[in-house]
Amino acid sequence: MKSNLVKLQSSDGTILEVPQEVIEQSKLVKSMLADCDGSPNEGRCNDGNLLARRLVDHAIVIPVPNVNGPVLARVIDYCKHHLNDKEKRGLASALRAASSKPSDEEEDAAIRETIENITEWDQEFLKVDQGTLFDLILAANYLDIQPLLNSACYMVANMMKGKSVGEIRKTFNVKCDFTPEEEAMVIADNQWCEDI
Amino acid sequence: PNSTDVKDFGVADNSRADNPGGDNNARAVDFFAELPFDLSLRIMDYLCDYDLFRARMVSRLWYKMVTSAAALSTRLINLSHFDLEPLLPADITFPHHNMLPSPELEGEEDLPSPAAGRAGHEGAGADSVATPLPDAAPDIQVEEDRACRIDTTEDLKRLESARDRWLHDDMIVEALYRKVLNREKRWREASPVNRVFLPPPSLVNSKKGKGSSTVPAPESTYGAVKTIKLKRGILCVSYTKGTTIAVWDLLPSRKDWLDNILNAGSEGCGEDEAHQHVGFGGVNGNNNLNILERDRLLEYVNSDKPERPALRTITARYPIRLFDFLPEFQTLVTVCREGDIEVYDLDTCERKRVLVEEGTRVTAVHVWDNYLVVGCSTQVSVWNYRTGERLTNKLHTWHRGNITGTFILDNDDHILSVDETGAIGITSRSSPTPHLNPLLVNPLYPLFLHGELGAPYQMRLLHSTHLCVWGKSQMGQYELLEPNKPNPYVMYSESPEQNQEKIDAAMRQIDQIYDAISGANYQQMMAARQNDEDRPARREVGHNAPLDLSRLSTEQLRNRVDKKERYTLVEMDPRISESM
Repeated sequence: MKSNLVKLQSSDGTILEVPQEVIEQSKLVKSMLADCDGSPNEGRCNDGNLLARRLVDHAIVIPVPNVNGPVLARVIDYCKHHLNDKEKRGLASALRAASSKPSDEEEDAAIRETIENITEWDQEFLKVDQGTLFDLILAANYLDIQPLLNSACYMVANMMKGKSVGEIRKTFNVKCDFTPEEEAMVIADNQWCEDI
Repeated sequence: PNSTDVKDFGVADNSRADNPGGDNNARAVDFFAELPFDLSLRIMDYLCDYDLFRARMVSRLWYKMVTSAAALSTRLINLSHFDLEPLLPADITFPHHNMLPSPELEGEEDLPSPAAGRAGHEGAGADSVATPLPDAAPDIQVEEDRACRIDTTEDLKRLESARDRWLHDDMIVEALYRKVLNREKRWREASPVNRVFLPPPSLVNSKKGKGSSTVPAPESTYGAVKTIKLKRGILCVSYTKGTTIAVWDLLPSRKDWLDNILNAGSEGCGEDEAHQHVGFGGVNGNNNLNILERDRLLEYVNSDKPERPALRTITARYPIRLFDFLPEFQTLVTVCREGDIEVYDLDTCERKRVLVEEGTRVTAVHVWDNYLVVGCSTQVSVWNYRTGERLTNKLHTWHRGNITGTFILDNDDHILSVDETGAIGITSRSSPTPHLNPLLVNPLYPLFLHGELGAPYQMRLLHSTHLCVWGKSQMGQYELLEPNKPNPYVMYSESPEQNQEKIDAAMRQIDQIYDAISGANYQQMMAARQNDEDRPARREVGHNAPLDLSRLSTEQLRNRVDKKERYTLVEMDPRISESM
């Protein structure tokens, strides 16, 4: 069966067509589609069915103003690769919802689950320059794709692990703006940690 | 989306920061500076303590972000889950559960216990299972109690406000977090934090509760110290003779301190202090701590000076064999030789309830939240000690020796238990066929000792996942890994590949254990145990019959837990324990 296609327009005007089930990994897009897909009785959208049909019939393009074309294309690549994870994620989220845990724990569990499920493909996918990684984080956050967001944040954290302060500064291009007195104080204050 | 921060999302350019690294770092990005704060927090979530605190030396901005309460408070709370020394007053940590409901007031949901002090109770209903106390005198005036309740409500609001606010103060949270980590360091080095002399109760003018005797028993009636337990600054001691438990409050001044800080501003403040003080009530709606409050909190947090301990005694009806207590809920539970389980109010020493486990000998007891977990030989029962309701009746476990330690885990379903052979397992309360998950079936210490001083193997669960199990002369530290959770070796190591090998090896070992239980190796393993010359000739109740290995093997196969649902136990590496 042929799947419905949705058009997305990036910040630089690029229009990308993507199968609906792929881009629905973005909770933002999914909620946009769902809001307009409800029956009129639900009162969410007066002409919901019509609008939803127009969305998937390419009559309307969904703007993604905060993401540029190349990054949006990479995000779509990620979603395509993880399309088969959808059922698994749905089950996990349903279990979490049924467990009635506090939201913080839910979020924490989701993060841990994502890290556990980072695959070699994900690692290769995220082996990009820092600028692209930065853009991917923002795009994942804007589009609300939590697995991608968590994986990308984990990759950034990995860049800091085991590095000296100087190496971290060099890696992230950070200029030390401590005064000599402040730096001495911070080093002394950190001594308890360095002794570990 | 979590953040609505809109930026120019074009490809990162060189103008974002200076470029000391040269062309190789042309696309380097200062993520903490560029990303919204909530996303920076996500990145910090994946850093271990060591890396996190080193990161704060990078720049002013990084220092501010890493030491923010938002970054550290969750870590602090996670570390503070079980059995901490009193980093903050227990009254503030758990203000809702200060006291047990009194049996004579059950059914009157709006009224707190007469001994409830400042805290309300949660309206526990009576239950027919519990044995009512014949000597509980209903000497409480309702009108007085209602008047007390008004104060309770107001104080409760102030306490909650105080707690909420200092957990959002950067300096306080950082100091607390540092203290937690240093505490772990001291613990590993086995250097004493401080020394306190605790004389026999008969030599002390103890503070008497309603349930305690009026005259301290002579020293000769106590015998030797049998068991000590320390939780949140409360040390409880039981003796080989007599029916008394000594309850030492090692930090008695904390309540005075709390009163002082809550009432600060109206009294004892100079003019300079008074104008900047708003009190914890937050009269101006400002949620930030003022300087005076912060100074006093920091003084408290950073103080390790020993205080003069305060003593109160609890006198049970019969000689005490086992006990456990929970300072947060002001509850102490004793088990006597006759099998009666008595629930006491830790503050007033009043006896609140008597529960009876019939037909089996109680070999372990544990109090957590509203749960009372009782190990009876190889079975486990769970009670709600507030209502007296039996929640789980004698659940069968896979243990072949008497259970000597039990815990109920955070999901309120799984029960962690250790037996006298040092074997550890998980049992599910909710599963119709009990899920049996043996975690460690090799004894920690091969010698077997079972005397009047109790079983050799005990355990404590710290910080949710840190499991300490000790035997006669050896203590093991393990990381209890929940199913479907990432392994900390992966999260906190510099070399994930090497650590993955360790994880795989640990998992293979666990699989071998399963195979040993369910296969022919089990017979060999059990034979080796039987040869232990120190093993006593006979077992406790329920173990006199010879083992039917084929039946046992079939049972274990049937109850084998799916690999994805198993808990795992990994021996703790010192560096990993630091990271956690």
